Amino acid sequence: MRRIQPVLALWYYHGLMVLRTSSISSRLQSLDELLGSLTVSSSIADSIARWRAASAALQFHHEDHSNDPKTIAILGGTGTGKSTLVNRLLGADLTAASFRRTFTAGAVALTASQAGIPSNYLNLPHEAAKELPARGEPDRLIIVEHASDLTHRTTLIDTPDLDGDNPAHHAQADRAFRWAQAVLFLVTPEKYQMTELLPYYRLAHRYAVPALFVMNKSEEQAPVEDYSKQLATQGYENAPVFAVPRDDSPFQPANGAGLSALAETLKNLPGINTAQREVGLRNRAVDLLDRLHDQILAPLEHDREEAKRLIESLRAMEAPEPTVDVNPLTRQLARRLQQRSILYLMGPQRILDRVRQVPSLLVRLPRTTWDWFMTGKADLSALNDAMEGDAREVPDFNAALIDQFSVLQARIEDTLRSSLSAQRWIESIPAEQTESAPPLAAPLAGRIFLDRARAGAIADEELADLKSWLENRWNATPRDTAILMKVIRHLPGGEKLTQWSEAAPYLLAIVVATHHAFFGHIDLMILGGYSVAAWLTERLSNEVAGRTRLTNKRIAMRFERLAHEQIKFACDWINGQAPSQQTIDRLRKLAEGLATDL
Amino acid sequence: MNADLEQLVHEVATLTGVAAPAALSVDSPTLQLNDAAPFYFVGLIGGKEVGKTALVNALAGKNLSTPTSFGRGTETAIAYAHSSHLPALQQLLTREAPDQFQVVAHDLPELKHQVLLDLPDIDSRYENHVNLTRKMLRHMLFPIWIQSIEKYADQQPQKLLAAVAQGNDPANFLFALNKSDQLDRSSHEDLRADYARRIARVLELPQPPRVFLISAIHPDRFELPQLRQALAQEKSQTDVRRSVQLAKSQQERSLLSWLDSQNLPARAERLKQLETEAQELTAARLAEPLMDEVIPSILDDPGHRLAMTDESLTRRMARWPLVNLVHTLLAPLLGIYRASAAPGAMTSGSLVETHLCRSHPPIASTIQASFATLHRSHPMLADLYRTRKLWEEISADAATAELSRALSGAVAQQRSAALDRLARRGLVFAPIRWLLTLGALLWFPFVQPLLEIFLQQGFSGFTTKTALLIVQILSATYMLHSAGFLLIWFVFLWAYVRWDTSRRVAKLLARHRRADGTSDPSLNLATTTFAWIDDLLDPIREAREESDAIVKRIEDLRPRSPVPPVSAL
Repeated sequence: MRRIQPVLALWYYHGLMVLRTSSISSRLQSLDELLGSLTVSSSIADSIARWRAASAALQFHHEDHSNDPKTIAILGGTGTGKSTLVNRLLGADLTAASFRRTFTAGAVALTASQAGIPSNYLNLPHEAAKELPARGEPDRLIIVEHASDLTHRTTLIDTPDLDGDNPAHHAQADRAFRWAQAVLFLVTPEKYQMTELLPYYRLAHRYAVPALFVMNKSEEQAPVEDYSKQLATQGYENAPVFAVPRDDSPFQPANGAGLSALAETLKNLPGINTAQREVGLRNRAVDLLDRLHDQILAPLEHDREEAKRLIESLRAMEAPEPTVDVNPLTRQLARRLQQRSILYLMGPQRILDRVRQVPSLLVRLPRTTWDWFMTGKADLSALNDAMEGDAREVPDFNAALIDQFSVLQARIEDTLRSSLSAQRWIESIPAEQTESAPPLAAPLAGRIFLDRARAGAIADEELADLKSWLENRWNATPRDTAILMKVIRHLPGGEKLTQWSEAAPYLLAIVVATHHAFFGHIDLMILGGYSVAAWLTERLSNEVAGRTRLTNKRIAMRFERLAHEQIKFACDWINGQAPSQQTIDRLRKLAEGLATDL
Repeated sequence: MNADLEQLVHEVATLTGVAAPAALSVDSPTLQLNDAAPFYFVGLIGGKEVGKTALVNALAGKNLSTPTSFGRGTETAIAYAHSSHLPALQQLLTREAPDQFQVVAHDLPELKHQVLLDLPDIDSRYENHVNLTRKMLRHMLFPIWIQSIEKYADQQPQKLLAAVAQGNDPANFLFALNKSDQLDRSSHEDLRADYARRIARVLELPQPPRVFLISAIHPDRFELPQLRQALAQEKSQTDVRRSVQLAKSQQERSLLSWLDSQNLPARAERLKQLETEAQELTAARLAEPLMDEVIPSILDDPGHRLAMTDESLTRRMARWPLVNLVHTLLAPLLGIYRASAAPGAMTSGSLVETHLCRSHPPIASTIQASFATLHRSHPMLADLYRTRKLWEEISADAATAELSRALSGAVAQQRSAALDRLARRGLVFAPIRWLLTLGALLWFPFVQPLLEIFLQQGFSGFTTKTALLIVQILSATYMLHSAGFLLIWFVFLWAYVRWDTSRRVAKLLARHRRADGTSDPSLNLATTTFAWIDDLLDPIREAREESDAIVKRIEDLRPRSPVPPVSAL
């Protein structure tokens, strides 16, 4: 009856706890899955991995393992004799011990049968020892089967050191501590004041993990008592400290504090009551929650904020105007079409053009005369100024657009580098082995920046289009002339009329000069109206200007579209660097749910 | 510590924005070298309960302090020193560790300059222990690192050892492994090798150092006698000096290796590459169009030539009497001519402005694009041009305005130089000028007719003829004739001077066009343009020069022949 009662009590409490535990468990599970699916930069990924390991340990503690032997982790500094103590407790040479330090590199479990160890214990692959004594290896749990009175009730876990010069060992020991159902702190007179154990005393107390304290290599009682005093300041008042004497020492520990007493205590390790266990589990969950908030959620949110800010500032960025004008390309054709247009020949524009040349002709007259006199050649280029400007080189539109695109990319990069988070993301891009690009710009090229040649391609395509149009039009009749020709062809002597029309402006000039003799005001107004109409029609009918404008507009439009695509591309990259707001919200919600469960 | 090197390290730290090495911080356990110290310290550094005090007692041969086996252990520094150095020692210890030391005096002449120190532990939960040890380490030329067979693989002492080795040569260290008696003899050599290998790894030594296997409670066994032997006799002055020298060069080495880890030559190389690229890019994109198009078009601008010609003409005309009247009368005509031949572009500023604007693509956007390209391939450009982001529109516009100012300044200087040159006052020519102008005024209407009559008639009958002639001369017809001829004469003179002026202006401009450096560089537009481009690239060049200078200084400070390491003991 006395044996049944605790079991009943346990069952009873357990029944009460089932709901809450399972809900915490499922929340942890979904948090774990969600975190596992995230792709984040390396520093946060490390904290996530650590958190998931701790969360797995907590889930293990939530599960019901009352039927399995208790797992006891043996924790201590290098050279305190952890492996030796295990061997001595079990009375056999099972786990390898050496005078060389930091010898054990991974956890070793000593159990009566492998079935007694939960299959996912430590979240590491389990491996049966190949030979005895077994030596711990990193990132796996070596299992040694040894049937004895002690191993039937408990599973001893030998761990690597906590203070050696190999930091990987500390992580292995830490993991063993987090999964252990009880912990045995092993110290020596040399090491009982070491700093590395202090946080573990605190955590064992906080997580309600039953703790045993053993001083190995004892030679006298005083250090044992001093250790006991030190433990009292850590929250373990009156905790018994077992003493194991050094091999060659005559020291005999007090009765009930020696190795055999320790073995007995281990065999009958007192169960902690449910309330304590609950407090411990709660504390574990609270610590996990704190870590989730401080090490994962806060940096993730910060990253998200930064990404949002960067995306906003990139969206607000204006694409630079492509300073491209294809006018020089088309001017020649415009002039040619104009000269082929009847309306130009008929209208006042031609005579005005001639009048405009007069002063410069006069100015050059002496020089021209002199040249003609001396060389027999006169420079009459001023007369056909139509060709002026053609000598000017056609600018490289391709390069101009690429330049403008570079300006945009430089602005984007400036914005990115203004943010510390973005700099971190850029640095975490794995460097590719590209020889051609400079080392720092290379990783950005395909991820943040589009190929600059695409901007050049716009110019090339549009210009090819324009050129083929120009070639088509080169020998074509201007629109106005074509229409007029059609009309005139139906008139008798229409062909002649066309030729005569070229004299119209000169007649007009004569008329204006002599208008007092023949004409009145009304006629002059009619003549003026004719001139204006002819000039305007000629202007309007010249399709080259329109085509030039169209090409300019299309280049501008396509460049703008490309710029937007570039900005969007960069935004997408930034967006991918931090998990989405929804994911963070889900994480936060799960964390809040967990907090309410506690 | 080498002051130059330290200064250099601080400069590099500010240049690269990296924190200075820990060895330079105030509370580091780095050795502070003091050549003038009358004594040197030998101290025991080790973890808790490894047997430091026991070893000190064994070394001194008497109980300096009481060894403990538990609790706080040794809490103060215990110095075992010759009585003659007590005041200086006490002064030093009071400064470094007030109330935390004891001094035990002896009168052994063979240990006159050696001070043996027992120190608290370096790995326990008592923080003041390790702080005191760190403080004393800054004076300790010969630390003895002692560990027990249990603790020799601990992390904390290794970290301290690495920190101390930044400022002291490992040759000055002694390593002892205590409590050897707790192990079988068979494993001794194995253990010694393991410990030595770990030390060699921490200190990055090519050879594992010697480790004394000792047992402080058995002073006569193991290697304690050898260790005691080494410490029983003080080191000679030369040895101490040699050790100080070793420590000094180790400090230099560690600072140099910090400097090496900053990759400064690579940085210099990158900067050099950036400079070359920038120079090539600006040469192709800025210098070429400016040299080939803008500057020739400025120099060929008829407005520029006419303005120069007219200004110097006016200046020259001022010295031609009577012809200047003609010039004044013709000035409006000239103005009309100039306006039609070269509209606008009269002042040097507007001239340059017009031609700069005419270049396509605009200079400002070329600057912007060139620097954007550079910025993309060399992100470090962002830092160099922090205050003047030439890939931004505003800065590029400002740079273009600078170019325009510089060029128009040069043009204005050209003009004033031309004025000075062409309108030089010639003394020889002054009489000729007077002869050609005032002389002509007298000669043609008056002197010549009179002289002609006079020569034809001789002196007889002179009076009547003369009187007649004078009357003729004063007649309206004759005066009209004379005035007409004189007008043609003076216009001819004016036209000659103008032709001469424009010829000389053309010559001057041709000289300006040639960028052969014969003329004053401030007049040369090409030189001005190159100076402007250099100014654009100034931050890059400055950074490159600074970087090169630092690399060179590092090389200069690198010791030519390293001090041969000697065993300290």
